[in-house]
Amino acid sequence: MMKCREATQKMSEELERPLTLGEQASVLVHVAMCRPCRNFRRQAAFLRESMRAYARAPADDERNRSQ
Amino acid sequence: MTERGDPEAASASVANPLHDPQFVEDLRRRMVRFATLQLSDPSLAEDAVQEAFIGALRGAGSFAGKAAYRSWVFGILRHKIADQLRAQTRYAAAPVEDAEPDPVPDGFFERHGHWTREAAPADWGDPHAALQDDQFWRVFEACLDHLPGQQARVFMMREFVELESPEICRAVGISTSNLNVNLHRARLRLRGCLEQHWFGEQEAAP
Ligand SMILES: [Zn+2]
Repeated sequence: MMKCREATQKMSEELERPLTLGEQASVLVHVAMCRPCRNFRRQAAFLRESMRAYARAPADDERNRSQ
Repeated sequence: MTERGDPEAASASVANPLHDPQFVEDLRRRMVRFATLQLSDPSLAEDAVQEAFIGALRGAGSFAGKAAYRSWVFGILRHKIADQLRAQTRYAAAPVEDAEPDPVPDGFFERHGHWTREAAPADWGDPHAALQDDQFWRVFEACLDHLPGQQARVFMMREFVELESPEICRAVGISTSNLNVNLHRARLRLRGCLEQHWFGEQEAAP
């Protein structure tokens, strides 16, 4: 059974390349049982979203401006 | 820590934030820091920042405040850095040798591979409201600043400049597995820092 260190490594790589079916299965089984890793996976995706928001004008600001 | 911009006093220059010298100075300093990290060459970094300001002057639109303006100028800078990096690596050979990755951060995992108690990620709930909060971005930048150099560089190339993995490997001269190790560690550190300095406070006791 995959441990948290390796599982989070796969979750990080998941943002870089499509995981193999075997890797996907290992990750799914792991996060089903491990709450901290479940949180890590959501947060890694949120980090990506944040970085991309950082260099974009927030749509809400543009909307508020025109109202 | 001092608050530099008083939002009320600054509202007169909202239409064109570039007319506020303090805002420009602060923005320029942050941009040069980003660009220098990415390009590893201060004069190329200065050039990229200069070009981004020219682009900003050319395309001056209307923005609801400085945060939106900053995002927009950083967006221009992002493209300048990407162009420069691609130009630099056009003739770069594929990396043959691995640089040693930054050392494994202590304290994330126990020897057997489970999270340590301090490092185990908590539930952040829905973190998206933070994206609208200027103070959150200051914390975010401070956390980025605390990443080790190589981790910061590849993480920013991936998530800010939005280069693809092979482009980063060529630009930095590292293998894919080395890149993945660095990205993993950067994400571990960054999320830990944000939890410690932002999301942790909002965490209900277990
Ligand atoms: Zn786990």
